Amino acid sequence: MDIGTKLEIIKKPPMEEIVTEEELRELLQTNPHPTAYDGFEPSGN
Amino acid sequence: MRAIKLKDFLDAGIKFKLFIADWHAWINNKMGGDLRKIQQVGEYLVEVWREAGVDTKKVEVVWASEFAKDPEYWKTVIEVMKATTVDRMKRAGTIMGRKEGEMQYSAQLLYPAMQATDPFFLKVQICQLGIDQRKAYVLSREVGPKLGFWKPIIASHHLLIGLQGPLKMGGFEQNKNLDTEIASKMAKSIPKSYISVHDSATEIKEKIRESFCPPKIVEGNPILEICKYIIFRKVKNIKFERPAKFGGDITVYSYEGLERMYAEGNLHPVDLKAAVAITLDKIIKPVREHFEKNKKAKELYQVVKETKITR
Repeated sequence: MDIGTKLEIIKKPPMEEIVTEEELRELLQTNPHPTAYDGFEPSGN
Repeated sequence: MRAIKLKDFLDAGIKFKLFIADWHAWINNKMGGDLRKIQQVGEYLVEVWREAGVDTKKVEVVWASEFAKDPEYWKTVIEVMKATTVDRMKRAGTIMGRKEGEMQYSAQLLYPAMQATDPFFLKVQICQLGIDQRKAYVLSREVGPKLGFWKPIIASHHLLIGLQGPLKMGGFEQNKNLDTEIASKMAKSIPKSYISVHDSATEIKEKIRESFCPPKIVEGNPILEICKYIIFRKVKNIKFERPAKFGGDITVYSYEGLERMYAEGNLHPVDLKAAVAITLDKIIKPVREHFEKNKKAKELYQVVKETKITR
């Protein structure tokens, strides 16, 4: 999958802002499989 | 919605970790400050994610309590705190849902420093959280390189607006639009603002019916947001059933088409709400039923139901 397509997928809603898109592009150029995370506080029903 | 975004990252060949910030929740006084209960809720949430379509075989789950055992973690947290003024740390408390000036206990000052440290111990290059969390990572980006770490990329997702519509509260962010987005989000501490995966079809219908949804208004419209950020990411079209005198049945194949139709006044809020309630229920149903039928899931949910929400 080329970088353009990867970026397209990443930017689909609900993605709102990327700081910075340039850095993300560079990251994908040097590392085809970087790691991302989402975190949350367990906080009730 | 976050499960949808997570899947996007996996589809793009990016590895993903799910971080359960149990210690952070404890510091932030959730679940009455009971760490054991917090951890049970954490297990419940992993189950919800799994049912919402996250392939837990491909996603690594990491608990904050693992980091809490590591002196190197605390050393880094201290280093972040040494590099950050008290005022800055207090301002960053908005990531905990505390407005500026709302921090009462000194332990809460640890929280933003911990969250800024987390990406380095998780060894991630991208932080993919809600846009209300960005301050923590602005801190990571500033302090990280000084401590020998990298600058993480912040990929923030939209916060779904609560069913009550826009609330102007102030005190979260300087940017007014962002501040309103954060103040208005769906929140467990505001019962009627959100739809839960455990809501029955009737409850969903009721909540949607009572939801803010002014005719022709797209901006800040919770029902349209649900269509944009969830429904059209999960299904290919929405069918609206209407009596012939109100336009007859119509099927819409894209969010853009729906938005245009609504803005032009060609779709009435009542019809929009009716279809959204039915479609949302279809999406939620498998998750809801898992927690009704699966023994382990049912037990986990029971624990969650019995505990009070605290801030």
